Amino acid sequence: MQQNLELLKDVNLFSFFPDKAMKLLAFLAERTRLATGDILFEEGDDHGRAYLILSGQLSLSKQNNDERVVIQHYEEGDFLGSFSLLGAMPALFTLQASTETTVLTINREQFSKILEQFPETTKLSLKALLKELNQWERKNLYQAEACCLGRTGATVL
Amino acid sequence: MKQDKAATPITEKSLFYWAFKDNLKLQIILLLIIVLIVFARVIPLEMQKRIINDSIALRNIKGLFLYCAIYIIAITTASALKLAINYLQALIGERAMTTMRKDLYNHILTLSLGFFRTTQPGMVVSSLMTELSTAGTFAGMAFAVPVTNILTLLAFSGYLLWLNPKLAGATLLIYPAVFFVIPILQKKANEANKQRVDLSRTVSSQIAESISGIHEIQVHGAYRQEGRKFDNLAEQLKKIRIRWSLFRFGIKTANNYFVGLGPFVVFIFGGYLVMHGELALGSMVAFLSAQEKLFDPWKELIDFYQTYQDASVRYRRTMSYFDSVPEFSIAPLDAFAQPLAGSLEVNNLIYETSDGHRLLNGLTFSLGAGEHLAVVGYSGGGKSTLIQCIGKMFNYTAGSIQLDNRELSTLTKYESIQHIGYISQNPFIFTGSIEENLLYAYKAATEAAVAPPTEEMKIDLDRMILVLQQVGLFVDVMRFGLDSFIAPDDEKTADKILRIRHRFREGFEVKLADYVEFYSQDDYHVNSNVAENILFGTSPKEAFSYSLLSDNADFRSFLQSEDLLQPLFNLGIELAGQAVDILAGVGTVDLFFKNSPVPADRLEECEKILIRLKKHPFSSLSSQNQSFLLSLALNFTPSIHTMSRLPRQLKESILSARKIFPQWSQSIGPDLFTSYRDTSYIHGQSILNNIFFGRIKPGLPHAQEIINQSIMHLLVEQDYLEKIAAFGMHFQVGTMGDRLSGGQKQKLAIARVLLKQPKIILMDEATSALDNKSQARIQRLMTTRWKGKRTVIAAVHRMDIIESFDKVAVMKAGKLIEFGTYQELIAQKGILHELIYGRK
Repeated sequence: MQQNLELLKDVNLFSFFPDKAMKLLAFLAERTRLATGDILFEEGDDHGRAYLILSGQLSLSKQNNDERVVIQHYEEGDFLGSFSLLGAMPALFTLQASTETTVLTINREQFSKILEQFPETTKLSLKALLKELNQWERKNLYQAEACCLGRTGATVL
Repeated sequence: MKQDKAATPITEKSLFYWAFKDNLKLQIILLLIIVLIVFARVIPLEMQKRIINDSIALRNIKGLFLYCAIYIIAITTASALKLAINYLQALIGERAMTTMRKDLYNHILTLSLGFFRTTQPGMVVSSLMTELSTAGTFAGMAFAVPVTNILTLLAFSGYLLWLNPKLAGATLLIYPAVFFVIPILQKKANEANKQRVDLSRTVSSQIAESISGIHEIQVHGAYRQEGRKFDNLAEQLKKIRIRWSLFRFGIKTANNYFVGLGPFVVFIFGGYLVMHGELALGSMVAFLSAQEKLFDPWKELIDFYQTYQDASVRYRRTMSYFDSVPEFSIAPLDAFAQPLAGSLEVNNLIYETSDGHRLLNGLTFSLGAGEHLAVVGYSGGGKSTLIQCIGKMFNYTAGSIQLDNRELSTLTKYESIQHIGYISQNPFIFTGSIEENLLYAYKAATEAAVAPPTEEMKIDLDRMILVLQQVGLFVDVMRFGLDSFIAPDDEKTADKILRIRHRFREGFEVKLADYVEFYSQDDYHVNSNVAENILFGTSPKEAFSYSLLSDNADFRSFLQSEDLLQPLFNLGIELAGQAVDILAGVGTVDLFFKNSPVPADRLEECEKILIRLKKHPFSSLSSQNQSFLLSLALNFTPSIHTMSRLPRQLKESILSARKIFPQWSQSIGPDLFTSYRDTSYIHGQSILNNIFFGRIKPGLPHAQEIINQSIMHLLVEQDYLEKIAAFGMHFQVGTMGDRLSGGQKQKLAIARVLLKQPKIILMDEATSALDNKSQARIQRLMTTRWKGKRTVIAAVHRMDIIESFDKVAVMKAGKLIEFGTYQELIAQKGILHELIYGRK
């Protein structure tokens, strides 16, 4: 659990959380061992979970007609699924383990109960999320080719 | 009872109706007893007179004994009869109240859904449980009390008149005066009481308003303003209450006063008559007693009058609240429902809410028997309303819905439930077993029919299993079955499971080694608690059960001898410390405490112990506290209680203690413990653990499927699948099904409708809580099994599943804006196209 705590402290979403809430979060988080090919969620699922990768690799893919296109790989230390903790959100992609992987899982119910217990954390996690969204778009703006700039603009939604 | 209903609705019955309904015999018996008791009450008066006049005055000792004997028999009989009356009264009261409750409850259940939209469940609860109980108590006395007391009054007065008409006339003269004064006071008291009730209600709503608006009050600092409002009302209430009390006591006092005048009249006028020899002394004594006894029935009559007023007011109010007529006729069927093909014709259908809001605005479409229709569209477009109208949850305002050319509104509720199955988005699951919930709709449909169910409607375990498989709930039910326990004396099942264990070892042990922690004499089991690791067995004796081990002195001395006691205490302290550190101060949310070694209600105890340990040595803890810490340690299971770890050293000590334990337990007593053995059933553990002879390791999501597959395979091979499924069917789903997941609830809701095999199936986003796989399964079921056989109308919000429907209806603002096959609508590039592919 102590280990969980140290790992979760590095996650942006929780960076502003008070110690007590962090401890509770670390206690509730579940360690899961995945075999290669295990699916964490599929397109259309409202899985309501966020994952912190402790070891191994996950791959995000999208079914495109008959073939599966891998979009992104996630490595040790990556945290994904922040948004799905906040409320219902059907997945647009499929996430699956590409090697033997260990993840730390937090689900929506746990997260929302913590927000209830520590009301100040709602604001703090929003703050962290906005910051992240801003950084993400900024990065995209610099990297995207001119053709794809039309797809940016999440921060002005 | 059926005829009663036809005559007047139960909410318009008078209070007295309940006193006599089904109670006529009892009331007659009661009347007989009352007549007897009145006699038994008059006799002692006569005896009194005779004792004084005939025995004492004449020194007739024989007469004295005789009269005294009659006297004692009479009062004994009177007491016994009084008991009988009270009993009968209570009996009638309870019976009346129960019938009242049952009838009213059954009436409430049939009221329209609109009624419940504006009714709080609490209101129904308090009406049925509290308000009606006064009425029930009254119904018990409605007949007995006035009759007893009036008869007693008449008997006493008659006796007095017989004794001496003059004196009797003089004493009874008081009562007309009472008759004149009391009602005046009572009227004033009633008025004050009414004001009091009204004002109390105002005060209550004032308090409720202030409390719900507390934010506003505090932010404006308007404490004084609110305070003044309340003070004002409280003062008024005080005044009225004082007035009310004054009148109430006034009545009592006036009554007492007038009755107190009785002896005065007897003494002054009776004394005069005695002196003039017109009255015997004994008669005067009898007079005095009778005079006094007149008071009791009189007082009871007055009380009765007051209770009657109160009860009838409450009764009326309760009944008038529920005074509405059910929307549908629910008369049972005379014969089994006529078979239905399932075609549906909707014509200019309109539904308006009571406040004139039009939710359905002129819908027209038709659907052939066995066709499937997907209803899509914007939220608030009327999808659910349409489905609920067809499901006869409320009556449509205008237009028509025809099933096989029969107008839906002319079908009784019982007939429509034979044909129509409805599955809601948030299905309600009732407390009870899976099986009870599964049979819920089926039973309602078959009980409604007088004719026996046809062959097709008969239900057996195989049918239930088939339906569970169709909706994808079977695996879950199997899991419930595997997680259940067998009765301790069920040797047959235990034997069978041992055989299955044996087969499991041969066929699957290697395959599942990664997912299951098998029991082995030499290993520490992280999925079992500390106590189980030490014992590696169970005890048939209560005192040695796991939950009581920490209190068991013998066991403690064993721990001591193995040098385990202090380390375990330390572990207990460590666990208590961790739990307090993480969980103290947060709410008692079940989710937080699921993996806590300390239950929520004992966290405070932990805090106290820890504070004490800061200043005092361990030995200063009370034995209760020590035992509590030990129980924490013994219950510690590393794989669940992840907040702490088990020290290595302790683990090894436990393993060596395990080796010695059987020997030790033999030395305490024979057969105290049975060690876990490959060849014996472990009672107190689930069937699955018994098959494994081990426990599943947590945190391995893919393990579930592999284990399920293997176990199913094994059970099919051993021909034991149905038996385990039957165990699973008895799984208790908890209050409102809270032990089931959202998906499981929805699957169960689909299954319970499937079981009654309706011709028309209505689905209101019935698969929204299901994951992709389960959704696909239902989809497959619809296309392969229902197409052409059962008509389906489904409100759908996921556009990716509508392609397989025969027809698609698009709704917006209560209107049908598109209707046709999927291909047609897509080709015309209208609203459906926009809904699916977005606005261009």
